[in-house]
Amino acid sequence: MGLFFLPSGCSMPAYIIQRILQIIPLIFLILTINFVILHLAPGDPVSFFVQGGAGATQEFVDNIRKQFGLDKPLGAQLGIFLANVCRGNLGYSLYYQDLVIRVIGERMPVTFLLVSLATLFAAIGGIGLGVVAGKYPYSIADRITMVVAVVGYSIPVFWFGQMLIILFAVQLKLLPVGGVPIAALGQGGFVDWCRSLVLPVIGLGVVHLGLIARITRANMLEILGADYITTARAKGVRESVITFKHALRNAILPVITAISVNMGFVLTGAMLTETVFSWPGLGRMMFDSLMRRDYPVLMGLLVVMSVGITTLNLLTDLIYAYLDPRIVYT
Amino acid sequence: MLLPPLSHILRISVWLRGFWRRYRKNKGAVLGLFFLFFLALVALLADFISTYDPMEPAVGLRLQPPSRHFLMGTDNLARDIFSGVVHGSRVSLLIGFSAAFTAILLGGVIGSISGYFGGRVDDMLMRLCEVFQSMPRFLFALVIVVFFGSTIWNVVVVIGLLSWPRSGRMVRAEFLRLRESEFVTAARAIGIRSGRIILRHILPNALHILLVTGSLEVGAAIITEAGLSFLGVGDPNLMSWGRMLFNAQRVFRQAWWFSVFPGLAIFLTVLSLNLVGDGLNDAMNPRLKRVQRQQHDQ
Repeated sequence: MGLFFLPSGCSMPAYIIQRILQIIPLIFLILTINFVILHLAPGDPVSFFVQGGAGATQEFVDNIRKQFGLDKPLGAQLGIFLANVCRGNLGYSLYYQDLVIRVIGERMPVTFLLVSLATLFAAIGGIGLGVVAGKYPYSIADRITMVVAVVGYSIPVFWFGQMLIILFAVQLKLLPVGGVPIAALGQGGFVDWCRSLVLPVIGLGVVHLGLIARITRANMLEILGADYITTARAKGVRESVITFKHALRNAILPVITAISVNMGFVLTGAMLTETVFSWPGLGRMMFDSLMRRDYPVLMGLLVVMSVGITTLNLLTDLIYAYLDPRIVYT
Repeated sequence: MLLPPLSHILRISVWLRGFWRRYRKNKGAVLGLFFLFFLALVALLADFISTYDPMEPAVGLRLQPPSRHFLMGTDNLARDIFSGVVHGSRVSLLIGFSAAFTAILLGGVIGSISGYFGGRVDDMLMRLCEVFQSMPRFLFALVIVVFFGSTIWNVVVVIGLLSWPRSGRMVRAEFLRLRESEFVTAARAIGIRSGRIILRHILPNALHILLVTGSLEVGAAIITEAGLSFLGVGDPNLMSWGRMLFNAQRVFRQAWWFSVFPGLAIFLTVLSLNLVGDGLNDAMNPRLKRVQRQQHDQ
């Protein structure tokens, strides 16, 4: 039935392929920018690989130069860089004595857990608050929602984390300070593990929740004023059915876009939150790498994040297209 | 010659009065504006208000709770936190406003060219916009500052360069709308050059967009700078709020005052800027629907 709405000659699979083709040059450009930053940076790129480089002999430096293709012209180097990224080779970290891609891969699940739980919390809380606020505009619930929203996008996520720790962990002693993910499952048990998740997830989620609430509210307000809602009411449809089935289903699409557009923000927020809560994920690793100036790891993180966010936006577009049959595939 | 003609002054004052009448309706926006004035005053008079040199160590004992001598306590090197917060307002306001100015300047130029000329120019510039929007802004700023040095102006330029797409898109949309209007057609018909039409005829009608997005960008830039400093890559020669939170990270569990006050300063400043942004939006676009915030600031 959905296909009925499509303009002739353009189908869903064609749209998917087209979007994927569009995204390839985008990723290519972002990677090129990464490369340019690396090369514009003052200092010999070899020093990114030979940390400090002080004790290295000229022969050793030349060897490394050759090994990484740094003796070739810039265009060729860009080619090598792109080819390496395509193969998943993001360089080698001397500190970890391992490939960057493997170092990042090891910590990815922990960050992924934090980000998805926080997003889930923000989405459920934000949509819930937004629906109530949109349903009863200018009520007390609405005012509270709007305050939460503006506070949410004004508060620095790392400071909020510190405040949560001071209040709930130090003063009230209700919850543990730091995250003890996965590894602690065997020792402390499941309950402790869950308790350690609460503060970081709230800390990261609340900041995001406000925006989602505000967008949900605006869309609910607009749609609840539409003619077809009045028609439904006139027919005697129950209010709860009108709110959730007739209005929310239509109001939710822009909210999904907003959640996706802001995934980059949640990811970087997660880096800061992890630093505050000593959470052993990518953010913590980034902070440590910064402190030891471990450039390959930093560049690798940048590449992984850029590609990840772009891919995520693509996925949202596809979900969106699937959910909303009115979208014209051009 | 120095004074504009009286009719101009009258017209501006009438407009201002109408603007203020609409702006005043938003209580939060008025409160935010007052706080920003207060903060600007603090930043201007920082040398007189602060009780110690913010960078000077060992003015008292380490990690003292707030007292009569140290209004907000002392930090891990026994520096006065109150003086740090007072002086930090300079850094935050300077970086926030300069970075936002860079962003809306770039966004204004790119957005107006894109919207006015359309076609292939527009296509290319909007692709560029897309590239910038898909980059994780904070991480890029972080890497660039680490590579190119963390002076205050590097931070400003990086944040500005990475933040133009929002204002760029909005200006473009406004230009797309306005370029089809009759007064632009008329201007074109009498042979006015494109540059002049953009600057003198369309841009003044799109200024409110730059002002609204600008006020939001200031807050975003302040939060980004604080985040950079919190990770220890801010300008090491300046006492900024983010830097204080970085110093506090190891000890804030024992010394709550160390992180509460600098963070509160960031929060209140950004909150005020966001409230002012919303107020400006309501007061300057009375007929238009509120520009919806789709994207997070940080």
